[in-house]
Amino acid sequence: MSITTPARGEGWPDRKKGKGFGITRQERAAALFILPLMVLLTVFWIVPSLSSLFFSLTNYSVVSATRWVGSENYLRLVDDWLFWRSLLNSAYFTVGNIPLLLVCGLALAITLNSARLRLRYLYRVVFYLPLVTSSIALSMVWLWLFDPHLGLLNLLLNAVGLPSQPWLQSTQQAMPSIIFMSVWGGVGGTMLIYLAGLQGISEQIYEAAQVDGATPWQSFFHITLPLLRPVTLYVLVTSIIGSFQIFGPIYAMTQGGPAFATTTIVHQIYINGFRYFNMGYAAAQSWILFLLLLGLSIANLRLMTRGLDV
Amino acid sequence: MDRHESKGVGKERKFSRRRFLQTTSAVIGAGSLAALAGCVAPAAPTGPAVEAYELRFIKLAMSDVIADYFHDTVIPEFEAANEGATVTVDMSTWGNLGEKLLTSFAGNIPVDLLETGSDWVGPYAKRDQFLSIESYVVNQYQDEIVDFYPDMVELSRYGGDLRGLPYILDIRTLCYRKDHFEEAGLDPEVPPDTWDDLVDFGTRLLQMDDQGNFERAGYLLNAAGPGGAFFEYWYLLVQNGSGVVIPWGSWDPEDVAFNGPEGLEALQFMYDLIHTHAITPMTGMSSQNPSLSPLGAGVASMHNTGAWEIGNWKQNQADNIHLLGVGIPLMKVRRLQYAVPNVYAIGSNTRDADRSWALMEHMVSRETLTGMLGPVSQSPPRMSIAAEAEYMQDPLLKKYQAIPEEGWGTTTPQAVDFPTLELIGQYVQAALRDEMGLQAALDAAAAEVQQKIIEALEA
Repeated sequence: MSITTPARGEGWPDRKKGKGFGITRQERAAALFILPLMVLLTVFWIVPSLSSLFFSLTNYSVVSATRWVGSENYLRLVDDWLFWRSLLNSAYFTVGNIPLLLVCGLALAITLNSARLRLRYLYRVVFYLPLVTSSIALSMVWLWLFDPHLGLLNLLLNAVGLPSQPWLQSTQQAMPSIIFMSVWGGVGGTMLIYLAGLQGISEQIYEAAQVDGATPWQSFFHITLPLLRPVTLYVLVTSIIGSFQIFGPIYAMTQGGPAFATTTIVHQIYINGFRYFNMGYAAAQSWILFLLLLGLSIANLRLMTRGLDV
Repeated sequence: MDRHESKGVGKERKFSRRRFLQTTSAVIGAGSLAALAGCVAPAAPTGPAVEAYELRFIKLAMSDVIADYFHDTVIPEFEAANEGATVTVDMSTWGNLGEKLLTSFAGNIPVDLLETGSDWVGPYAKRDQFLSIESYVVNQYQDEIVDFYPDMVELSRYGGDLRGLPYILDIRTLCYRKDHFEEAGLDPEVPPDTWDDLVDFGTRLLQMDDQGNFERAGYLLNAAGPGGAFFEYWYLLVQNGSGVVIPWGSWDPEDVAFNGPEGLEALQFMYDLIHTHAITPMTGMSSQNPSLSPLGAGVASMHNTGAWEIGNWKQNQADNIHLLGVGIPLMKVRRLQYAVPNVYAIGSNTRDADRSWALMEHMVSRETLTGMLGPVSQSPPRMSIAAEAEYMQDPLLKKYQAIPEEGWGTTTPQAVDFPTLELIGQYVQAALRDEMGLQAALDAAAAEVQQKIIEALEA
């Protein structure tokens, strides 16, 4: 793709009418419209974020005098096995959650994109419904489903002659159980984004492929998947960020247990900040998480945009 | 852009700007009028001016009966007796009490009175967040303080000063189903007395289905969550003659003691209850009817639980209350169980300590406490209520009350806060699930507790 830069005077905004700083009236109007949001962003995001960077270099505890500790909080992280365990658990959740979200979301989107499927709009709403429900409410329902003694899942297993499982009470099964619940709850969102992507692919491309003798699988692998790459990139980056930030179900269902099996990084940040009042240490953990997510997002962008015209 | 379009845009912008100014002026004008409304119409003087004041009371959510009692009776009575007073009740749960206090102290929102556990007093008093009420008690409350169980009052002492007054006793002991005892050929009037009895009785009471699932736990360990796992371990720890920190009030990290031989034996016994004797599932037991406790629903035959068990039966199956038995704390080295008061405390950022104290006095009066605890069958912290109140004539409640009276009550150490107790619980869970060796889990937990105490001392 080539971009032609307009010469001065051809398409550039007229700066003659501006009174100061060489900006036009339109630009000033645009700035005014943006201003309220910028104020909110500054007050509730930029200032707290920068403050947390400062606090991560102190022993800030909200309630007692704050002392500068330099890199002490960051150095402490190196020896904090629970921090590493929580990071590992978060990675486990992410690696388990994202492929399932992508595959199930895409499969659902393709199924529900078919014009031949009756009631497809109803199905779309049904699959999206968990996303408009409070994650804590969902967690409470799933707690009952996973109940080792009376839960529906074990009743189903017993009905087919299989033994009951401890689910959230087992160090091996707790995280997969939460991944399963999370995929069930989040797949509707992925489906919706893929659905929008699928509807942006021209039917003519498929028709041309069909004329050339392409099978449905060939169309899928050589047309659908490549053309959905920007959508997949978006879903991947946002899902990685979201997965590393999982907190609600952990807080409501397992409190990080049993035996630290579901302690995730954001749960640790919460525990350190709001239970132990170690805000400085929690801030340092938050910055490490931010840097990790930033790195992962950049790596994703580089990998996924190779050869892509974006 | 042609001339016509340009003109149109200019016109629209001019119009919008004017409308913006008009709207802004109208909003500012209306706001100013609203703000001044109180000033322009002063009330006609009717007598000597009464100073209006407000007290913020952080109350823990309890049953609707208690909430109504506070809303309809306790608060109006205080406001009527103290002219000018307005008490704002800020409800909280145990789960978010920590966050509420954190934001209150950080934002300097007054904590004029709050309900909390006496085991919260130490860490908060250490940070100077709970006010000393020692001078009020010494100078104005000598006649009343003698009516409280002395041991229960002392649990709220930090640095030599009292920081809170009890309003309820949270007492745990072994409860059991008499009908299950009879079914198993056990005497329904003779509950287990020792650890060995517990295993023997539990084995006889246990019922499993064909697929190896627990139909009825002989004894129910509530170790599904980290907090529950800690407490189940701790009951055994103190009965075996040890504690988390010895002595109780010590803030010396070297006094962390639960990873000693007594602690190991306690954890081994807990492990054996699950794996060797198999009389309890590791996962807890649930009732089909969520209103009923596991004992009430009959899915467990014995369980260490609080006096709320009695309230649960009375509320949901009063006709069956004769099936409920209340035992005494089990004996190993010592006969001990958890008996701890919840207390009223005053935040150090209170607007007026004298008035907060007046509110606290009102809350712990005999009348208020009886009206609050009676309908839900809860254990009182005042001896006169225990002896005289009509609801305390219930023999089951009297058995609970015997625990502090006999000196069988104890609590978790002052230097260790609840999040740290939950941390120990996670290690207990790891040991019970064979993720770690028993001694290794206790040693790792002890190291964490020592570190937390050091951090608390440095804060």
